[in-house]
Amino acid sequence: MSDLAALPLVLRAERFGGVLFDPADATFIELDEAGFGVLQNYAERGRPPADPVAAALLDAVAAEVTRLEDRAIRIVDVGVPAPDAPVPTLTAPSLVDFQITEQCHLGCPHCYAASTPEGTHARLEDIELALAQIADVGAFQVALGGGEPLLHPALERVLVRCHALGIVPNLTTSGLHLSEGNLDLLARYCGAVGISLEGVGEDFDRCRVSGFRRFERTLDKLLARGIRVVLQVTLDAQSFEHLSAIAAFCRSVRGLYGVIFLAFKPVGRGRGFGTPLAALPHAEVHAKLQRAFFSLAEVTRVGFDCCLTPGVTGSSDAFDVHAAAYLEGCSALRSSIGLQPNLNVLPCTFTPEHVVGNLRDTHLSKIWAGLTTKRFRRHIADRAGDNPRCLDCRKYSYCLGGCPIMDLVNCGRDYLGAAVAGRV
Amino acid sequence: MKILRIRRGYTTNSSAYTEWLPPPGGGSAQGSGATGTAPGGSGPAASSAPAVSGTQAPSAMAGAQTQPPSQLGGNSLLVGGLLAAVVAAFVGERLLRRLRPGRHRVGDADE
Repeated sequence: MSDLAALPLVLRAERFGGVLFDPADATFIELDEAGFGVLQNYAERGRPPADPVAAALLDAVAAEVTRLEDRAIRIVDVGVPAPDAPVPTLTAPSLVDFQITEQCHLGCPHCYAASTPEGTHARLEDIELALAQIADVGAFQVALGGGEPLLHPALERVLVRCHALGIVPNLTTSGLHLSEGNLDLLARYCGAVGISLEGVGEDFDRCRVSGFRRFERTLDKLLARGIRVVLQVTLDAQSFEHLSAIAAFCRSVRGLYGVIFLAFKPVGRGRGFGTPLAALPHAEVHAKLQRAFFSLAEVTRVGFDCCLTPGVTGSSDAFDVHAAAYLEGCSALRSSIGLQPNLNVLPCTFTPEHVVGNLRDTHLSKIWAGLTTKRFRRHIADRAGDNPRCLDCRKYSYCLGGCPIMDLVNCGRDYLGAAVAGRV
Repeated sequence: MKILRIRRGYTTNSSAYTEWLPPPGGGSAQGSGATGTAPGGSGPAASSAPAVSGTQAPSAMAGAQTQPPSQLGGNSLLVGGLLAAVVAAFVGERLLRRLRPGRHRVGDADE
């Protein structure tokens, strides 16, 4: 039984007003300034407002969260406005992607973290320091990964600490080391658990020595325990050929929490393994992503990591219009960070060469507002600003010109081609 | 005083909280846990919450500039305008010299 329903709601101030987060089902309610004030007063006084308009707003909020009445609300105000950035930026990260170990025994040829059996674990005191700072700034979730996070000897203490601080831990695992004890921990503390699906049958076996049959057993175990399971499908030029088979398999699984498509990044061991989707014509990528989305959205949640945004935005078809209302482009240092075992802070875990600070010597709130971080945000804006195809694109506000570091996937205006031409 | 937007969904990777797309038309495939506020207020969230805004613009990042390319376009226009002014001044000056030949000869360095 999940313990997340016992956690308090989190109300965090933002420049536009604020966000109310319900850990019980990961509901994010964004409020304008006056709306935030209503919730803040309610949280502080513990009674509904007398003003009928404010009371109506509170009722509307109550209808969207799992429980509002008699529930604690933790108010977070980092005390500084969102950084004055060239790209839209929150006051602090809402999500921290935390690599708590570099150890893994699988040796997958495409592992972006280049994890090995000799990899080191993050020290418990470092993890606790990081979690304290993550709670200070009001980040709602941590995505625990590695390496294989189930190998971390202090995993239970990490999850308990998250719970005590009101942070939702999610976790990505290969499924190896999924003992009964670990299953209990995941079921009790985690919001969702991700497992990777690079293909079906032999296509999967080519990427993971553990094999597809073991993957299916892992999936069954997680689902049987009532754990919210996300299938993470990393798409490169090769696996993309089998997208319809992957989508068909995902459709056949009952009880999934969701399927998330991720753009392959040529990082770590993956640098010599796969080819990013950028090698494929955009029209083909967009059309196949669209088919997969509409097929899977009938049975489960479907999502795309922000790196895939240019591939999701296509022509002016229904998929594009629908997606446009929800996409927000690269989230690195705008609403999320990556965190390495040594507490180096990164824009995301795929950019280990872009360290913007370390939590051992600088608090996360200061790193978030720091010059190095600001320079990276400037880089996001400049990459699009220097590209003639992005210059007058009406989709810029929710695409932000794709990944600012790597050429991962093209868009309908061939922005990667234009960028290459510009460089030449 | 309003709700700007509602999103739902746990995040297992690095994409902050922007990754889940609600089903088109706010269908029930994602259950009660994934009913985003549809643009125009047509989604379930809007129907159950009268204070929900119908705005299409993503609000989470409100308050910061979102269109540096357009800004650059504006800068290009400014630079272009200045260049045009310099060219116009140059041509005008030449024209004035032609219209007033006496003064032109006196002022010329190659005289």
